[in-house]
Amino acid sequence: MASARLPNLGAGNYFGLGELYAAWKNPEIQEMALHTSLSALGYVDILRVPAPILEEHVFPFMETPTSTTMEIAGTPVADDALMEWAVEERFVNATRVMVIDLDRCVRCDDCVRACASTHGGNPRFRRHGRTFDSMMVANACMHCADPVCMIGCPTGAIHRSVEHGTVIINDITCIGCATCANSCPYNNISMVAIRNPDGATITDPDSGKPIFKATKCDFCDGQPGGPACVRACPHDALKRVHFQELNPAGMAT
Amino acid sequence: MIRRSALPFIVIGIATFAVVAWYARFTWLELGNPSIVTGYTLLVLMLMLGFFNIRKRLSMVPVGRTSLLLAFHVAAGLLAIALFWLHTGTLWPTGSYERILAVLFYLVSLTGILGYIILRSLPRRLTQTGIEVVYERIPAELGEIREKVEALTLECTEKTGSDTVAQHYIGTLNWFFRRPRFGLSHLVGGDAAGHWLRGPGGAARRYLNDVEKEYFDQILELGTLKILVDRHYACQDLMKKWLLVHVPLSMAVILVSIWHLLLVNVYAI
Ligand code: HEM
Ligand code: SF4
Ligand code: SF4
Ligand code: SF4
Repeated sequence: MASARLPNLGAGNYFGLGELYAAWKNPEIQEMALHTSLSALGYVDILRVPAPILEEHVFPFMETPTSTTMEIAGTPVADDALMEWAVEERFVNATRVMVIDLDRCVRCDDCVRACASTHGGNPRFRRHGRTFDSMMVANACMHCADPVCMIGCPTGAIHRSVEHGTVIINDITCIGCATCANSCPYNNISMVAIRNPDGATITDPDSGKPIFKATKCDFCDGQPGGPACVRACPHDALKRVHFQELNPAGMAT
Repeated sequence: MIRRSALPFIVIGIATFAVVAWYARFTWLELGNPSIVTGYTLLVLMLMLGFFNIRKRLSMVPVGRTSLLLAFHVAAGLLAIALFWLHTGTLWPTGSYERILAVLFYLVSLTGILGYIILRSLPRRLTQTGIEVVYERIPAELGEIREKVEALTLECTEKTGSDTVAQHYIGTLNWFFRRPRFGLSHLVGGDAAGHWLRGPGGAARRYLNDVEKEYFDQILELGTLKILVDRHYACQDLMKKWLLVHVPLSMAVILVSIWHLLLVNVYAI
């Protein structure tokens, strides 16, 4: 039998609680089957709580749960196609994905210019990327829930901001080894030759070669107005959203 | 057509118009000069409209979203048209200097309205092509398509020893692949390009043998791709270039208006 993807569950959602509860409530029914199965899309921590513990300490004190999984599952196939696509493209990791509504975007690149002018002349993303219907996921760091780019950085230059949870690179400690750029599965980190204020590339005094540093979208860290790309779009076409808000209804405002 | 975010600005615009019109009439009843009220309001409004250009360059200044400023711009632009009529009291003033000013003003307003319609309608047409091409990449993209077509033509001639496809390329297809074509049709949503490719573009097909046909079909497929890139070119080009008319004209209107203000004051002395 072909399988169909039902909803994507996140924090605060239940899976299988209804069935376990029903099995406890109706002991005369011997076989209680789960209606759905669960697959992990990213790293998952599992904490095993044996059913008897739930039966003793939780079920007697709770209301009959509604089966959230099956409820959300009642969506038309067309609505699921977007999620299928997002899962296939591995955008499930995104906490701040850059989506552009192509039906609104006039391709003016004001967003790119705004990013460049707030980041020393170098834009931190490309206004190009995967498209689904009228939605484009641009090549900008999505500030992953599980940032693979952070694994292996020898100086810890790439790190998560304590205040905002964004993934940022410390320019001073980045040694330009490109480990992060090679690990980002979405190609959202670029190695850029650094320049002095006159625009000339700065070279290593020993080797004479230009010095490279890793750059990526820093979600306008430290900019009082938030992401400049979002503010600059004259047509409200560009948004930064969490993966679960990635749907056409969420785009239109 | 008008975005919801523009509605509050339009309501404020209508209210402003009512207040200014009422105040102008009041001034007239008091035997004052209503043109002073309407004129200065119009000038301030035009400076605010022109300021949009400067604001867009200062994207690092964190005040307001550009989309809200655009909504304001559109509403204020429409208000300016109404105020202009109120100020001049006619659609077409009599003095030749005033006529120059009126022509400039009408052109800015017209390009503004047309530009707004362009920006609201063309993006969807681009999405419908199913491909995305960055404007600056279009010449390279077209160059690559042409090179592929020429390579296929050459290979076909070498392999089959027949030059029918090559002759058709030189005589007909080359015109199409050389540069963007059927721009106007792309802008209005027509299919003149597809029609041409199926007609004159594909006319040689019935004279070809099976091997040639294989090559020819690949060429036509590249032609179909080129139509999509051409559509991007036509639409993106217009979306960029209308501003090159609107903005310089708007600067001219502001300068000529300031000059007009100086003249009026000099004659008033
Ligand atoms: C009459 C006085 C007007 C003046 C002085 C004026 C001036 C300007 C200026 C300076 C810009 C900035 C362009 C840029 O730098 O990117 C602009 C953009 C624009 N104007 Fe006007 N304008 C006027 C009227 C209008 C009207 C009546 C409309 C339409 C309803 C309009 C629609 C627009 C639009 C759609 C943009 C482009 C926004 C964007 O995509 O960035 N304008 N105008
Ligand atoms: S750089 Fe790549 S892996 Fe790292 S957070 Fe951004 S998108 Fe995720
Ligand atoms: S959030 Fe800031 S750094 Fe990131 S793409 Fe937008 S403008 Fe550039
Ligand atoms: S600023 Fe907005 S409309 Fe312009 S290219 Fe960027 S997303 Fe598209």
